[in-house]
Amino acid sequence: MKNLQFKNIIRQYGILFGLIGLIIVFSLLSKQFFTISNMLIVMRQTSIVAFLGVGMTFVILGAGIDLSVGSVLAFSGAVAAGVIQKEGVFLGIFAGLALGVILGAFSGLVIAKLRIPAFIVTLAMMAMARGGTLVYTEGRPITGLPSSFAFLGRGYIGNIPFPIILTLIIFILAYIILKLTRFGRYVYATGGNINAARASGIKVDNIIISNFTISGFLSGLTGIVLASRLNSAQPTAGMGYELDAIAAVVLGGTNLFGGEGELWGTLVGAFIMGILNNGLNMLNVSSFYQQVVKGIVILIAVTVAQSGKK
Amino acid sequence: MNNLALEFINISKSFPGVQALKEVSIQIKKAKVHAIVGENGAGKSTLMKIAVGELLRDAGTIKVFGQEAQISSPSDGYHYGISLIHQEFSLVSSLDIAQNIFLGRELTKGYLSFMDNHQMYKRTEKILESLKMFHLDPHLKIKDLTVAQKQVVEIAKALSLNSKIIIMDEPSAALTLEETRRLFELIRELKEKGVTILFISHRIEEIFEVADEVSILRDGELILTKLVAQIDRNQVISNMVGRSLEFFFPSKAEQKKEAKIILEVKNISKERKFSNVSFQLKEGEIIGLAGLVGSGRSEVALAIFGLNHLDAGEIYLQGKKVNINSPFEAIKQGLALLPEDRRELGLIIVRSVLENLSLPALYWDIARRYFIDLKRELTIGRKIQKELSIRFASFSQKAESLSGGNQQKVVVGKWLITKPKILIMDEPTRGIDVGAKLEIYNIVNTLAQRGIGIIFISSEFSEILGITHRILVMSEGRITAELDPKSSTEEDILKFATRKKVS
Repeated sequence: MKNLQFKNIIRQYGILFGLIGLIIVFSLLSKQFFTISNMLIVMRQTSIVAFLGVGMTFVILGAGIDLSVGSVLAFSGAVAAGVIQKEGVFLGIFAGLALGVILGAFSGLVIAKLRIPAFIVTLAMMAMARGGTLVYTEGRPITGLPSSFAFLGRGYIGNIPFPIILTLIIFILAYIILKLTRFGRYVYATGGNINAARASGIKVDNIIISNFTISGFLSGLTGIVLASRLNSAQPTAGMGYELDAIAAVVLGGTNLFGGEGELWGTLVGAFIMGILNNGLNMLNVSSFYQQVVKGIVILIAVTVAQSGKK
Repeated sequence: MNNLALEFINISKSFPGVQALKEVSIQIKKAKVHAIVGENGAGKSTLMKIAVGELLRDAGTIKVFGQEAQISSPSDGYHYGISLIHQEFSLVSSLDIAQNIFLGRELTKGYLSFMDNHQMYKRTEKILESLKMFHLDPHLKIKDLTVAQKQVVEIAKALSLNSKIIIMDEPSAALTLEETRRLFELIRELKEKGVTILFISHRIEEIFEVADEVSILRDGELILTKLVAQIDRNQVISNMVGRSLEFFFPSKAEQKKEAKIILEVKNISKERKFSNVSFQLKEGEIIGLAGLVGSGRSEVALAIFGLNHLDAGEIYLQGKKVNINSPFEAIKQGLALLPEDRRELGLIIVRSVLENLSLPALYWDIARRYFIDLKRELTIGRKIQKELSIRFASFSQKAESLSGGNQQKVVVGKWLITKPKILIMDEPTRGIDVGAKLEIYNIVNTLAQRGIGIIFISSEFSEILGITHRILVMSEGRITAELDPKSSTEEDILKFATRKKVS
């Protein structure tokens, strides 16, 4: 019995222990690691993966996958930057978000109505949005953004960087949607068993479209925040971010086949990825090796989670 | 002593919070058919899984042909010549019969170990031939087979492994009457050849039809083992449920004289599924839709509920013509469907009991605008749990951890919460134990008394006769007869259920 309780705890909170373990290890290896200023830096870096991870959580809970988040991010960021230069900050942000919503909704529509697997549709969207970005930017970064735009990525409220606050707001909103609303229930139900969900009167197509729209919206937001932080929109922004976002969700214990998982897990997963980046940088580990370590950590985490299940 | 094929000696097994088996000892004689019966959760499947090594026992000994056996992993079962055929088959549907039978142990030839297809198909052919009347082409893909044929493939696979002991978990659960009859013939034939058969069943009649001996389990304990000749049906039932069932079917709900027609189906058709189906349903009426598997009865149910599109015909609810093209629309009109496939269409097994119960009613009742009223959800859940006496430890338990009977009650419950006027029940008692069946019958009666019209679909004709007011028999997509259960027999139903189209 005792052994079993232990396994249950591992299964539910193993990822938290992993996070604490990582923090302890890096703290022992580097004095500058576990300081308030460095932790705030980590959290600010994490916010990018966290935004994408929240959207990805909706999609994966609904038994989908979204490979296009990195490209949509870049396209939205570029369009936002472009519009900001001509029409001002407010309209620019609106245009970037709207583009994310439109691209996400389009993917969702094709997946739900034409019954094409999400993997393929979003793979195509990944190529299209990246291409769109390159066309729009002519392959060059868009720079020279007004200083009023800098707040989103580099601003502070009190001592806390604004992206961290934005992460918290998004997390709380998403948590409320998933746990307290009908729509949240329907997301879990649709991902758990789409046929039974349909037979229970749920309009599952709408749920799928909504999930991808949410993911598109958050990708757009990420692109805008990233452009603000870098003071420019890069045509290559967000390359490979879809994998970081998926890794955060999976590290967080969400079932890749849908229907099961918790949002806080994604947040912890994103934080683990951020800590790895930051800690390894501090230890002067080459970025080549960092990739290897990241991969190993994901494997270990998923293996531990699996062993807790049986 | 040495006429024993398999001996369980003081087998115990516990799962978190449950003692699944308590010192169970059963002796199974060589070349006999031994039935293991008991309600869901009695420990039958657990014992069978322990026999083949799919589960590890906590204590006790297993002897195979008199020798103590070390069975601790699934391959050990095969090693000792024991095969377990699951309710859910372990066949790869995209491969053909021969490829499945030799899956993982393909025959090879030559230095490069290429597959020896010729040999594999030849041997498969030989095994299938020995099953005479079930003769199948080894090249057929599993996905093109019927449930009964898949079962035959599983049996052939067991034989190809030289299994001397074959365990079947509810082999007849998804079979038609005719298929079941042929399966039993096959079982007798295997027995002749010296194979020992253990089978788990919920259908008491089957024990008397095919078994030599029967063991009854209840709550993880062995109640008795007896020769079938020395026990009768009532004794089996009372030992299974721990009480005697004086009247198996509850007395039928009285029908009001002036009951209104609430559902009228006029000449509905769907190509290759059913044609020109017409009937009426009154409030408080239970009509039986009898027919064999594949007769089109389930398709009619799915079509009325908006899960299948109609090619022709009309549906009237309370005299008004309706056009139902989605379950959402159906629920709005007061319809509910208890689907045939509980796990596929009825439940979201990875979600909690409470979430399953409240799901269809969230839109109509439990949620206030967008937000779920969690308090109200729990109150409604508790009420329905009490009303249907659904047994589970916690509302947050996953639906998959419930026994079949309780899962079915959860599906009934989730529809009752929507307060339907018409309830379609497709094989509501399939795969659930006697006690739970009785409870389902009682629920059906209570609902009818409340004025709900019920369409009760079943291939168990005894229950159709036992609980419905009126029987419609279907065969090959058409209604072939309307019978009065008071003056009809199972043979009458079977006659119309097997009536072929005159061409």
